[in-house]
Amino acid sequence: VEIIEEFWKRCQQKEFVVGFCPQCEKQHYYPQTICPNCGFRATQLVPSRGRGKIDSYTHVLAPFYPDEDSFAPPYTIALIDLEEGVRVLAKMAEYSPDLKRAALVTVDFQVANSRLIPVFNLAAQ
Amino acid sequence: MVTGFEDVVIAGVAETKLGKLPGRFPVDLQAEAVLLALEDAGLERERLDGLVNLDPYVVPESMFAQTVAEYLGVSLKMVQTVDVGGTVSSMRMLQTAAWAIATGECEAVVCVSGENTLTARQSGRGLQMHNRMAGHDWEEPIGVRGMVIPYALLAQKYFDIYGDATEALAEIALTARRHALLHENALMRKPLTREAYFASRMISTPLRLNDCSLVSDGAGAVLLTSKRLTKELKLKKAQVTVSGLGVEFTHASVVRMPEITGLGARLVVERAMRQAGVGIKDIDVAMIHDAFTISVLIGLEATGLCPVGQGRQYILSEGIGLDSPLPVNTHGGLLSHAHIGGITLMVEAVRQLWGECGPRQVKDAKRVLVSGNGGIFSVCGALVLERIS
Repeated sequence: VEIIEEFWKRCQQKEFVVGFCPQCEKQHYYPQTICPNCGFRATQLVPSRGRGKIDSYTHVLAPFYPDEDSFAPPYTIALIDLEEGVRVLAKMAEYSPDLKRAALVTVDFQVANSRLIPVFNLAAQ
Repeated sequence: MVTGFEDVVIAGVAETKLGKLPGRFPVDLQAEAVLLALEDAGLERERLDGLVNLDPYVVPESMFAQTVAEYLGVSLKMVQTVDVGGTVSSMRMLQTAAWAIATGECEAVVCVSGENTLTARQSGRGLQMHNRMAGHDWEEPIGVRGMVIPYALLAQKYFDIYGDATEALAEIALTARRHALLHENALMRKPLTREAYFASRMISTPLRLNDCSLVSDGAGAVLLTSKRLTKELKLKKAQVTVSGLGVEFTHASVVRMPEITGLGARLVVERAMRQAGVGIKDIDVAMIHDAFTISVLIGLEATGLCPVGQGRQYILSEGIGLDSPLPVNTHGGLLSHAHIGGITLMVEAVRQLWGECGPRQVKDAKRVLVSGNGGIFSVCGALVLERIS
């Protein structure tokens, strides 16, 4: 749970972090204290360059969060393969009806429910 | 055949009323399904010596097998809750029951699943469950809630890699509905037209409302007994055995999902069929866990009927209806019958093998392949059920 708190704290400082294992030197996501690749029990959080490529996406058109303005439809959710080799799940900063697989994106931050969450913007292709 | 399972048979199946059942709770729904399965088999409640169930998800309860057993007023040798995910929970329930019987510990074990999913959920919030699943802490704050969004990501990926499968998804939904019209207990009893399918609202692209399964209250049960008991009591039902099972876990959350060809779906069917000593040509009916239409497309390809990526062509040319080479989800599936975990797929599979399906009966069905998953193809499972004479 501490690692989750730390992740969100870093987001508030506009830093997007992923899990990193100093033993096998692989990154992972979601961050966890035990490395899912080698079992090492003292992983770290490291800043990501936040650049990646769309693996898949969906435009959410139904209200899954009826009480929250931050997720009023429509909005776009994407699976993104970061340059460093991990896949992350995130909201696109803007509803992006023309989004395509393999589009290049970069991380940004946006307020949702009065805190910053990581989101992605289309980058120069 | 699984060693030891030669002596285990399925002796009774049941499903309760489905749909919106206010005033009903997981415990009495499951207890009712157990009683109906016992009645179906012609077995007295006192002869039951094991109960395996799934715990409710919407309002979670621990040690739920005990709760149901107490409600039924029975003393048992075995009470156990098995929570694997989706249809795989039901598969493991059947296997657990069969093990207990095969080892001689028990003689009559019931597997039961179901809850008041529809009435217990908070209205206007979609299907929100109070049990936390993998990824919850990370996904809930970023706009990913429920199962439709992860499945939509999978479906879009399928479309991008293998081509737009919208027409095939429509055919899956329409076929499920045609089958449901032939089942008196199915929830959807009005025809679904192609126009109505395409007019149904988009939930999360590319999945429409009619691509999603039905949230429903209800429960289902499968009763397994030893062959000895079946003979002693001259139980009326024809005999069905569990002849093969395969399960593979790969990931929990969508962010760790492997590529489509890396999902466990194909592997488990191969394992189950190898154990049963059969090939896809020997299968008469398939039950494919259809939480979403895309699940059937991927599940069908995983049976080996057609190569990965060719499922949409197969569905459009051969179909998956009663007159197709391999009829799928003859009761209407989770899409048009009801989503009661995977137990209703087992119930229909057994009824097909018993020849009890009336207008939707597949002629002389001898073997059924049940294929399904839990989560987002997180754990895949396949089961071969076979009629023996």
